[in-house]
Amino acid sequence: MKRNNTLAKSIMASADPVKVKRTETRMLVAQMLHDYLGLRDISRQSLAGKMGKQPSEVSKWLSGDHNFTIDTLSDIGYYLDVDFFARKETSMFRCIEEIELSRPGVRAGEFESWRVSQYIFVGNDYMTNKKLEKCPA
Amino acid sequence: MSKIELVELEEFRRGAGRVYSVAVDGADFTLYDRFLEENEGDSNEELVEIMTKLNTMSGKTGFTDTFFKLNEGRPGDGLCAITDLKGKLRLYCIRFGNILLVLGGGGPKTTRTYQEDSKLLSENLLLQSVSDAMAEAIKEKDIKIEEDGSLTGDLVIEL
Repeated sequence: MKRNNTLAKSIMASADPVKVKRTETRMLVAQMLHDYLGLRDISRQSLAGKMGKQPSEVSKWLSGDHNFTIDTLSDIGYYLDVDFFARKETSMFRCIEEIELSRPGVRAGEFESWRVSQYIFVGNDYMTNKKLEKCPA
Repeated sequence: MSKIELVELEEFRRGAGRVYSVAVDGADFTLYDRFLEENEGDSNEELVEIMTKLNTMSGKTGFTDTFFKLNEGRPGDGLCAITDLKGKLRLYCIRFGNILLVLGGGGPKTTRTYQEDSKLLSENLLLQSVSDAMAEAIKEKDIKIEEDGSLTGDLVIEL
């Protein structure tokens, strides 16, 4: 069947791109929460119980329509033991640790903050390249 | 006896699942196209929200069950609904896990239950018939749902 979808295109062309982005972002955050619940093997009811909320509120969070506050995301992260705002620098420090293993005088699993700073500021490009090779995605 | 054709909506072929709709008795438009035409103008903002949800699901998340109003038909028929943020507009669909969605029609929700609204009731009942026909066709191996959510086989089936 040859279908004409010009109406759909014209409706979307009239859309406010800021609002479109908001709708998408809400869904992606809800999907992230959904995935973490699965990873941690925690039910909605269980999360609600831990947080002192009704299960219906958790369902609202997962609906893709909810506009989360930062505090709510922080609280959920605390109870699920996840960091929604983890940045790549966390991986960077892990990788620096791995690279440091080859340097004499540096013990595995430990590094002094000034040594790390030295690595970052003095050998940054080199370290960055090494970091990208060694760090998981 | 009516015949329906399952038609892929290619604008939603974005990598995370497939979206189809239904053309009834040889029509050159689908139930989804009719839904857009019936509601464009007055409900453009609501349509954009629903279409954005479809874009996000088909492109990034898949058809996660929490994004739908579930159990809109009979138990086990997969009938559900997508609504806009305020719940003004309702689009009925059949959800096959996270990878395949078949869109029907819908309309504004102005009553407490869909059974009280003749338009929503007729759209819901039509899609229930489609769900029954698809279940039979899948059971008889006339239609197959592939791993990527695409439908193969004879996509013209009798209601």
